[in-house]
Amino acid sequence: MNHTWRTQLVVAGLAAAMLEACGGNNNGPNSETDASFNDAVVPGADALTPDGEGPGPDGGGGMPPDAGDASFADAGDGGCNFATFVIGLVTTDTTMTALPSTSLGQGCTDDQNQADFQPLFP
Amino acid sequence: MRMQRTVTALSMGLLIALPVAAQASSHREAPFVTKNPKVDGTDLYAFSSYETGRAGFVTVIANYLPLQDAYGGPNYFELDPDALYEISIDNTGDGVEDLTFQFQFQHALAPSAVDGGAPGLSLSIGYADGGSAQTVAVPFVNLGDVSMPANLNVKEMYTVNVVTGPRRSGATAAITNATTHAALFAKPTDNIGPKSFPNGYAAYASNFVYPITIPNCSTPGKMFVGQRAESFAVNLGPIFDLIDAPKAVVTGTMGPAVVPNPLAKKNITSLELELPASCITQSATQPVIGVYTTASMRQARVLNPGATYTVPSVEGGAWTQVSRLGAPLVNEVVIGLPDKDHWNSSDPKDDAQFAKYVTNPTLPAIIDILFGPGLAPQLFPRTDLVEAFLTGVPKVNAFPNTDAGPGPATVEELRLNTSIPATPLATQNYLGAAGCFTSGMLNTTASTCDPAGFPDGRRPGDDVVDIALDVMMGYLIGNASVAPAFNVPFTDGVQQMASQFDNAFPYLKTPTAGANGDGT
Repeated sequence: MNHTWRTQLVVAGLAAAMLEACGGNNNGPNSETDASFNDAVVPGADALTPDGEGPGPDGGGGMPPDAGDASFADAGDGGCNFATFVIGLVTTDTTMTALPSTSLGQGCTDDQNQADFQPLFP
Repeated sequence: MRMQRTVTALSMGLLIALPVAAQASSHREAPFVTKNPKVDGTDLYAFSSYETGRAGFVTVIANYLPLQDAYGGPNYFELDPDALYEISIDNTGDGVEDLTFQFQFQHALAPSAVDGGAPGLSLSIGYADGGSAQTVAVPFVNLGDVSMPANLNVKEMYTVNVVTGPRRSGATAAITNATTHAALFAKPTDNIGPKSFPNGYAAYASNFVYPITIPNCSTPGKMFVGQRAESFAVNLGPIFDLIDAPKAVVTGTMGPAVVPNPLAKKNITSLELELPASCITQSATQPVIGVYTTASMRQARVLNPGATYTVPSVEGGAWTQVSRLGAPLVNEVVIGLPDKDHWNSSDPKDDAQFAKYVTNPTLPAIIDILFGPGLAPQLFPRTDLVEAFLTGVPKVNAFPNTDAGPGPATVEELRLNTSIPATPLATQNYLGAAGCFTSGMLNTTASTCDPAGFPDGRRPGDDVVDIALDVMMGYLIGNASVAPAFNVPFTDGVQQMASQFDNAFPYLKTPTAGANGDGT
């Protein structure tokens, strides 16, 4: 599985997890495939799911209290990918009520791979 | 003499609500907005309408996108369709908005003239490979008189929602056109020049002043959004070149109008509302409002490597505030450079965190270095500034009580007492309520008194630069032993006055035309 494909799967899984956590916000571009990806192909998602089990810079994987619905993105640097982090922000919550994430993904690995963002431009 | 220079403790508060300082209201004042000029709020006005027949209405004007050169084609100065522009009103004095007017913009190319063709105006240029006519999109925003819809290549529209309660969680309803009931409004094309507006830009733009139905308000208001002539006057270049002007100019020896306004031919984009005072105040017995404007962007933006007109980028995530403006000049010359972006992202209710910039202001010290020594006040902390800067003036424009309890909260907003009647344009004093002081005492019967002006709200003709300079240099202290220059009429040498503006909504002048070479 190449890097881009793997990233897309993780992104899709993330989106599904987020949508579930957010009560079914379907604004993201991957919404049609969320369920299957969430169930089947997100081996790395534990570090990125809303329960924040991964070792993050916030100390123990907890979500920033004011991070709103985008808090899933505060996965910390325990394996998080910057493209995934950004796509998570972009696709998760476009409502008027969400608060910004206080995590900026600065600890995430940035592959600087333009193709990582391809899911946003179908 | 423009005004008396002796002030008592009572009057200290009054002028100070105007916050502080001097220079270029809020144009390019913080590092981040210089990268995003479309969300750079530059000036905010709030005043009781002085147009004939409009008593009981309040006009609020929020200017964005600074220092527009009128000839800046071919795309000119659209607002950001991916941003959220807001005008918030706190009518309880707690620093939390009670009403918010949310503006969102959209733009679209003209529909294709050919079935199935790409959008946008086009011309038939020769022939394609198959022998059919070749249609090619044009590179400009118009092809002919803009007032004819078929000639317009880009149409800019907007919606306005009113949020009752906190802006991110309150109840939302749309403003609609009081005549057509539509919720989508057109924004006029910028003033390209006389060939694109052969019947005159003023007549064209007047078609975009809308009567509006405001949710939960039985009286219609007015709305205009579009390009206007820059309304701020300041000696901008020399000010930031370490106030490169003779001391005689700065200290007012030559009067308040020494040099032309460098911004005179610039344009600005204005978001204007005229609202019934009864619909935006808490009650008839609590007529004060605190106004501020903010702009927010989505938290994340991903650039499209295959950019198109409709998708140059994808933006998403929570709205994240990047610009904030209440009273003029605060972030420009009071807040320190390391905190300017933070100020823009902050909420008024949290303003106590910036108190040191008011209690120990740097601008007087800088003026002292440049033109002193012996000019700057030496009374610290500047409790006079703090009290009025953050709370308003009791019995003038302060909230008597807040939701949080008795007494005013420490909040930076543009405060307006809507119960003070408007002053007709012809008799407005460019020093606003500052002219209400005689021998240091508040005297509303003084011949120079114009209580309907800054710092009781702000009108376009109020010379906030001169007022603020005087205040920063100790005008309100009125004691030469600690404020040796309190009686010096400091000025930037560029005068702002009511006669520079219109006498009716939208008040700000027709924008400078881009054509004619010199921007006239």
